[in-house]
Amino acid sequence: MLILFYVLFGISLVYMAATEKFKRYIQIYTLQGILLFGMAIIELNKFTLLNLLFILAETIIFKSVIVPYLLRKILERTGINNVHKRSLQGNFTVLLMLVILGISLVLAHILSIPSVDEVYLVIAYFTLFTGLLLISARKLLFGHLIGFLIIENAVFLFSIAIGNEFPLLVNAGILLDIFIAVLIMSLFLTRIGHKLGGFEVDTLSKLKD
Amino acid sequence: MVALILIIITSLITSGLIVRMKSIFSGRKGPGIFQPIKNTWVLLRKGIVYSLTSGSITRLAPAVIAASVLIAALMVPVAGFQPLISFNGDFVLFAYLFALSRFMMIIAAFDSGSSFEGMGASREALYGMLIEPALFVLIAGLVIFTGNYSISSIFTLPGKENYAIIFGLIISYIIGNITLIENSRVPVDDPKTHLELTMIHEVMVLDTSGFNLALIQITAYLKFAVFGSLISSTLIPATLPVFLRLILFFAVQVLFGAAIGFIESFRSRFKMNRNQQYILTVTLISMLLFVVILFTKNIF
Repeated sequence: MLILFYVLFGISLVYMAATEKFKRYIQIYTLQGILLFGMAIIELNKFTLLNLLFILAETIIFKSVIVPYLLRKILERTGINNVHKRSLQGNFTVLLMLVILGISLVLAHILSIPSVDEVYLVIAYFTLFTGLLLISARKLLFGHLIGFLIIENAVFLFSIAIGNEFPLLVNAGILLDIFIAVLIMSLFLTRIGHKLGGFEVDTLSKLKD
Repeated sequence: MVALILIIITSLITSGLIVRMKSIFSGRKGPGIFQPIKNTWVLLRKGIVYSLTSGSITRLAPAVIAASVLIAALMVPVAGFQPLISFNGDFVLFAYLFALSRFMMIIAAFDSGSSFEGMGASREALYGMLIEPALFVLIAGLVIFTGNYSISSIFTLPGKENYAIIFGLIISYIIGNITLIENSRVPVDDPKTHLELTMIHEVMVLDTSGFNLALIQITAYLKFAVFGSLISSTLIPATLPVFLRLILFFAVQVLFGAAIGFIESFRSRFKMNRNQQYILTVTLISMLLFVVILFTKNIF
């Protein structure tokens, strides 16, 4: 069953890189939260029930409900739908994903940990690099935010991989999740939120005192 | 022999099923399931008109196209029934018979001397080139997973290994996408479009008529049946009783046709420049499955 979650998670990343609609980003991110929930149930079998419930609630409540809800509100407020026209085209993003898959494969093999399934590491590296690709390929700040969320999913995957040995890391991963939720919420509640979605990253280079 | 008979029966119903599903989803009564076959039967009895600019390739191509796909169909296992032709490495011949069919279609389009057909041929060549890696990577993954080298063995997954059902589902998804691209269906192409500028497959056969057009249509029906049979082979365990396998086979074919009809009813076709991205995405998913298979077999 775990292998199905690995592959589905990988496929969700492929579609994340290929799509140019922000609504799709949110839908795929929600799906990833559910897949991480499934992975956590199967993988973290040595956790206490309370700790496990906390982690499971975190994946479903934060990743699949709260964060997507806030992201949807940002889209509604800013009225943006698609990535910037000058962003890297989908063809090239998908080709870069092929390269990223190769790099993840090699890295997972070189940096393998005896107690961790290597497929897990491949998917975690693949997620990490996909997040970085989204950040570097997308022009609007909203795209960068999604990229950051994907990287955060990669951190969560790494923490699940070694969660049975180092439970503290899983909790640290959850803290990062909560940080992201608070960050988005603060952006949403302040005046920056009005500009966030449509805000071009290039304009940051023109900031003056 | 049973495999071939089942493929022929499937080829008779799939196209009609797609049309029927589209009619139902759009709220129309629509034609019967056998209407496309009836249309093809009418074409088979008609004469052929050749354009003055066309040469011998136009005359030869339809027969080669139909024959190459028919031979490929002879290699396909159907729900545990062995195909007529099977040998180690036959998947290379299988892939290249499809490539030969596409090649003949392209040069026949060029041979007609029409700039519209040349445009369609150019698109067909590009999409064919892009989808071929997906098929080969998928087959390579299956060869590693099953340890066999023949289509009849590599596509018969269930019951062989752990993860077989999971991989079967993902392989079905990939083959489903390959079918849409190979058969020029929505979202890559729209067989019902009337504007030549947006056509891919239809524009290549604008000058084809009568018996030759019937052969092209029969090829399209066979392609559906071949890919549908591959999907059924990956999903239906060969160890089940014969009658159950037959029932499951037809259930998978009906679902396959219904799924394509559903997609064509609720999904719009892509802009031409988005097609490459879609095809590359299928290749990437195929590659991802290949990587996972490498790890599950402890090869990497």
